[in-house]
Amino acid sequence: MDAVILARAQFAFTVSFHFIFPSFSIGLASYLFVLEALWLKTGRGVYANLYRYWLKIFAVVFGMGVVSGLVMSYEFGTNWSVFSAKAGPVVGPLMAYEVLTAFFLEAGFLGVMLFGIRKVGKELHFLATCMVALGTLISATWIISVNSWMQTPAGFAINAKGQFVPAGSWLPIIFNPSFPFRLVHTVIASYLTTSLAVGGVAAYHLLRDRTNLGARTMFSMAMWMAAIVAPIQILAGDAHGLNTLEHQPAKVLAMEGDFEPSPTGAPLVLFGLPDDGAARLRYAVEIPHAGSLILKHDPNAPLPGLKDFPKDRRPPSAIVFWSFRIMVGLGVAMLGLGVFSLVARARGRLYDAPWLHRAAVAMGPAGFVAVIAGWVTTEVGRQPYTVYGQLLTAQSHSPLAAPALAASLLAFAVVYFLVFGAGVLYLLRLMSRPPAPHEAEPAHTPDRAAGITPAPAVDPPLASPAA
Amino acid sequence: MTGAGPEPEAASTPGPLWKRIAWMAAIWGASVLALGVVAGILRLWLHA
Repeated sequence: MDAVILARAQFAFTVSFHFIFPSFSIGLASYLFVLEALWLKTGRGVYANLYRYWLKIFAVVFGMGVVSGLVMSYEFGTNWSVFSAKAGPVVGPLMAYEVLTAFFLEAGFLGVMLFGIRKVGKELHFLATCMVALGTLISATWIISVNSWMQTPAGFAINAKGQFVPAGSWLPIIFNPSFPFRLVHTVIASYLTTSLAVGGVAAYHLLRDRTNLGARTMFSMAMWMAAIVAPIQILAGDAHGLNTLEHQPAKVLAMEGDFEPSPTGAPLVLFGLPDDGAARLRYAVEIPHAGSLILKHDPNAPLPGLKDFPKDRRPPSAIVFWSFRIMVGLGVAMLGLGVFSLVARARGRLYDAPWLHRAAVAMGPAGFVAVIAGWVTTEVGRQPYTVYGQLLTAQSHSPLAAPALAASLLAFAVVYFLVFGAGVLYLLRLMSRPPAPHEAEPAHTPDRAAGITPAPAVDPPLASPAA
Repeated sequence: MTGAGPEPEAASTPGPLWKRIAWMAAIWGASVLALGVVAGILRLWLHA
């Protein structure tokens, strides 16, 4: 097999594995922030219990995210040294800021979150939680800025060595044309992923004991989040798609399966089999003019086709076409779950609806799958470039040897499934344990003696605390 | 549930503010230092 394809497969494998963890830790950090804020505001022990329940999971997820992320730094040097040499002056500093944020905000204050409560008191402990949540968002900002610059490069010049360098201000580089759309879409995706995971865990425990106060509380919170955020994410995705059509039209045409130009309005292709060799979509099931309606907000607006681009400048459409449909299909299913939960809530049956709970368990991992499918869509859709329109993937790699790459890819696969498989099993074990319903009430509540009254005395087991 | 996090005793005996801030700085510094040591070892290993 071609060495460049193997190098791409290796990066795709490691980055896909890696992003599972940040997509969870970004959302979990904010969830912990909300839980601790609610605990401090209301004094209800259930929030402190849930905080403790998810903090340990967050620490493991954060650790696995750090470890799985290290590998990619090496790959930049070993497999993509030409890209690193050429784009390093632009992407290097932005990635360094991400590392600094991870060091000084996330990792530093995570220590206080884990070990500091007895020493720093609740207010400073909450400050640490805020810093970690803020740190995850700032880290995401830098990484998305780098990736967005690779998709829609701006604010650069090429120096005498052929390197990309800032052309004056860094602001056009950081705030490149696709950056705000990607950042919003990615952070919302993390929140949605986390809400589905939390909702799935809660539903799993509700199916066994629907009186569990912790499970009820987190299920209610997760379903509110899914119901509110899923439609927002669909709107954010639509805005992102319009931005991509403006800056990377070939990617959107591959997502839509539009090989032929559509001078009087493009159809919306629901399904089909893209054939890059023949440059046609086989067995297409489509809705006439709906594609132009979505992409141009005008059913008769003309759209180009992939055939308008030279063959060697088109992304491989089959992968992009299907990964996009997986993402969108799961997004619609998330919306459906949110609506299902609203109906159950309106009928007063949120905690007494086994089919809703089974659906939530089934949808628990859906966010991770959708996030990876989305990244596959955007990264494969950027091909054949690493820096869109500027630097070809074929010109970005190191001198590579296919046997060495195949061996290291195999080694990565084995080691990752062993190490991270064990980590994921540990996480599932933590999540399979129900939140304890009779945890002692945190002591600072002003209306009674500290640490004496058990939580259920103030949080009746069958109440709907966050409804 | 076991594990780190807000404990009932913590809120009832917070101690003076300067002491709590000092503890926070110490734990924060130790956490960053621990990560720095790991990064340093990796760097030494790569440069060996």
